[in-house]
Amino acid sequence: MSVGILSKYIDDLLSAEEEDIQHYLSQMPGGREDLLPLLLAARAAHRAIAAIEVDPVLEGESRQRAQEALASPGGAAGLRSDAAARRGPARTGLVGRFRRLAGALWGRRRKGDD
Amino acid sequence: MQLGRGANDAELVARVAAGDSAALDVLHGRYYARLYRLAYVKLGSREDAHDIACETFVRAVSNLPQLHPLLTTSLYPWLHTVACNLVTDMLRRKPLRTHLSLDDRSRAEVAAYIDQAPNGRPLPDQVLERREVQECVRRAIANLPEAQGVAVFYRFIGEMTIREIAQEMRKSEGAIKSLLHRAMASLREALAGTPAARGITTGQVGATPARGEADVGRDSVQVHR
Repeated sequence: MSVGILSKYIDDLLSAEEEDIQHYLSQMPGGREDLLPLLLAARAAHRAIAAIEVDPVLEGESRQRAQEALASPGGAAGLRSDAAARRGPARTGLVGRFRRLAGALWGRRRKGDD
Repeated sequence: MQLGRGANDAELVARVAAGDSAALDVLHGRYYARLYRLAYVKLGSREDAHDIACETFVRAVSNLPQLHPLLTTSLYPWLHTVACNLVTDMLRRKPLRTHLSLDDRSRAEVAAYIDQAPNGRPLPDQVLERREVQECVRRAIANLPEAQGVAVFYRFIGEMTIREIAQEMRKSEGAIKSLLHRAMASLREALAGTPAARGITTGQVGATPARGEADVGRDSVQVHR
């Protein structure tokens, strides 16, 4: 039974809706002495973790680094660029046609040289 | 499509994988603090905790394109694993100087703290003492047995539901509740061993401080027999 009460207490702690500890103890009249240390441990853990303050400046730096990573060659955006590069440039439009033609002529000339 | 703060992780990850920087900002806002706290609990250093959280995100960005088709629920377990691996690497390179256990001095500080705050009013010098108590609790969490520690991190830092933890750890929901129960017992045991802590089970205990404060306690809980 204490497993269920403790679980509910942790739920309530995390949602900031916890009742007074007496409320939880009253649900287990025969086992209060076993339950109380567990509730206190949960409360201590929750508060110790919540008290670890995050520096907004450092958080901003981290966000910036993540954004740079996204835009870099190794990032998600970069991976997409690599894939596009492997496929080669699009050969449509005037420039593409010119390059295709130039490539074909250059290849013919190289064959002729042989 | 507009990105809401309530967008689920799978959707955000897919968008980041497609190069969406706004989606990355949402994920970063959602998880940076959790990763920072995870690393801080394990390492006890703010600078190192920031480095770990930061590097976890950089690695995440590189791996999200491969990850996103597989992700169905919370991204936290995956980030948690990456961060823990980075912590392990860091500890290999730079072992902790402090021994992670409650020594006699720490136990005495916990006892002194609880003894001096019986009426719900913090004394001026208790700010420092409160930090000491927080540090004791941090060490105790960091020293929990492996499975208990993972469950505690998932529940208290990752804020995952029991069902999500059960899926992630491939156990039943009942098993996860039992694991958390054992974890709290271990934690209590680690923080015990002082006259004041023994007194907790019989009457005076600390704390229902204002939200956000992390002391072991300062109000009184009477155990009615």
